[in-house]
Amino acid sequence: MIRPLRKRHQLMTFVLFPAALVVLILGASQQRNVPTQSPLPGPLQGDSGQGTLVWEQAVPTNPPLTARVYDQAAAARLELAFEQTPLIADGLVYWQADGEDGTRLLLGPLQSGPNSRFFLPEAGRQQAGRIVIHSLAHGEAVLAFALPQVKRASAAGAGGSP
Amino acid sequence: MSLAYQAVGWNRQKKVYDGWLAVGILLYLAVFMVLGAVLFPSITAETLLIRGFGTASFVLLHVILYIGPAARLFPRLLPLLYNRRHMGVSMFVLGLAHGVLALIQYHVGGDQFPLVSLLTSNGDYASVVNFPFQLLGFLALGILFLMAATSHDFWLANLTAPVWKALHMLVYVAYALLVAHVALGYLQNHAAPVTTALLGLGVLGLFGLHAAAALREGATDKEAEADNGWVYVARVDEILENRARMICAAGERIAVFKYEGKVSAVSNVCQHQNGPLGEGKIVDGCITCPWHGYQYRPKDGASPPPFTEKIPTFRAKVTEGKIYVDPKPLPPGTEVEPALIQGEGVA
Ligand code: HEM
Ligand code: FES
Repeated sequence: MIRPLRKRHQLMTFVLFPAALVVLILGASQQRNVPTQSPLPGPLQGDSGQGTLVWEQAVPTNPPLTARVYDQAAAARLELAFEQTPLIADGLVYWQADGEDGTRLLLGPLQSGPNSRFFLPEAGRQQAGRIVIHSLAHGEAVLAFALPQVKRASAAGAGGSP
Repeated sequence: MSLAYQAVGWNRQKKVYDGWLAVGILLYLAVFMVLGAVLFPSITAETLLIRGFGTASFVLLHVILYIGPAARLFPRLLPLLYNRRHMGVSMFVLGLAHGVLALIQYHVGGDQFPLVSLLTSNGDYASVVNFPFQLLGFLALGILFLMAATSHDFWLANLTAPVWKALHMLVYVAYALLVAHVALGYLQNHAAPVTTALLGLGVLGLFGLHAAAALREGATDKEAEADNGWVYVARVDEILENRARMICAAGERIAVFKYEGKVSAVSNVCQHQNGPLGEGKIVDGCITCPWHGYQYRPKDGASPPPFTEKIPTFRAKVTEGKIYVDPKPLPPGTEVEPALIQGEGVA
């Protein structure tokens, strides 16, 4: 090579390789830890008719949604019933306590089809909070509504579940 | 070499080289697809193809960039350099296949023209995690296209070697863009410690080799001092038969060859791609470029007929076993009587 080009070649070597290394280190250090096989709580099985309905609310969204909480023997159950299958990709459903930085508990992924059911953890019924649906694809919450403190059904009322 | 268009000049060596290249690429793709399908059955064929082509291209780019400085430091690897441009064109074709498939997979089916979608769908330039990394791949592909399109000797002759070489040096920009393409794209979506480590080693290794070669070149580029119009080169016994010593004088390198009891000095710059003639040797009585084998006669710097390349020559003399050259270049093709070692005469 002629000398001026050799100089430029040298300059590129000492600028571009280190720059590439810096970007690589930056990228590697910012890696989000997204598990490919997420250990999400499994969907609730069983007949949705079981348990005692203790809370119900229509949520004005598109498609419209009815949220219900049932009391069961073991734990409470949250049911989200859309009128049609919602267009939410990768929806994750959380319960979040009210307050500045209220704890967030992952209930599980939105199931395919219009209906999803989840265990509602004890904290979720003893404290006022809200239900948040977070879309992984969009990286933001796509739906949120309040879930007040839910009273326990009377012992007699809970008799519906075996 | 004339400016008239010439088809690629094929010879046996090139065919063998290209044969191995094709076998290597096909083998890589086959192993990648089979392993991918067996180990990750949930991955679709499209994704496997995108990744297969993308990684094949990127691996080949590493090979291409390793060969240059490695051949500089270890001349035994020079045969690999001989037909490197076919590696480059293959690398571009693989990268193009990857880019086009990715464009189809991720940008067709929206309400925008796919290329517009690629260029505008993500404007998150301040983010590391969400950086529009596909744009980086697109820019790199543009550079690789320019290089592949001008790879033929027709363009080399038309643009002149220095301009052509400067254009093809953009490969380092493309490389940096592609490292960023992977670091800000694939690595953000897949926790991949092994891939990250491999890529880090790849970049570090390339940097190390290039830096070592550059430092060595820098030493040769120290300007030699002229004394009474003559520059000292070396003692006669320091140069091997049919080999050269390079010095830098009057701003450019001079290659001083010793052969058949004689010494001749010519410009170090090959007319083809400006390869370093002083790192070549004399074969069949002609200085032979180590890069692609262009030949020049030592006494007048002209290629043997039917070729017409000519390089500048220099006057040389041998006194008391020491070789000197006059750093004033003579017009390309000027015949200079070689300096005789026994007689120690001035040419
Ligand atoms: C228009 C140009 C390009 C586009 C739109 C593009 C798009 C993409 C996309 C979407 C991915 C992520 C794929 C995944 O996560 O599975 C990717 C990854 C990658 N790309 Fe590109 N790319 C382009 C050009 C290139 C070029 C020219 C090269 C190499 C020479 C390259 C090398 C790679 C590599 C090595 C990966 C990581 C492995 C993989 O997932 O394939 N890309 N690219
Ligand atoms: S640079 Fe190609 S033969 Fe000399």
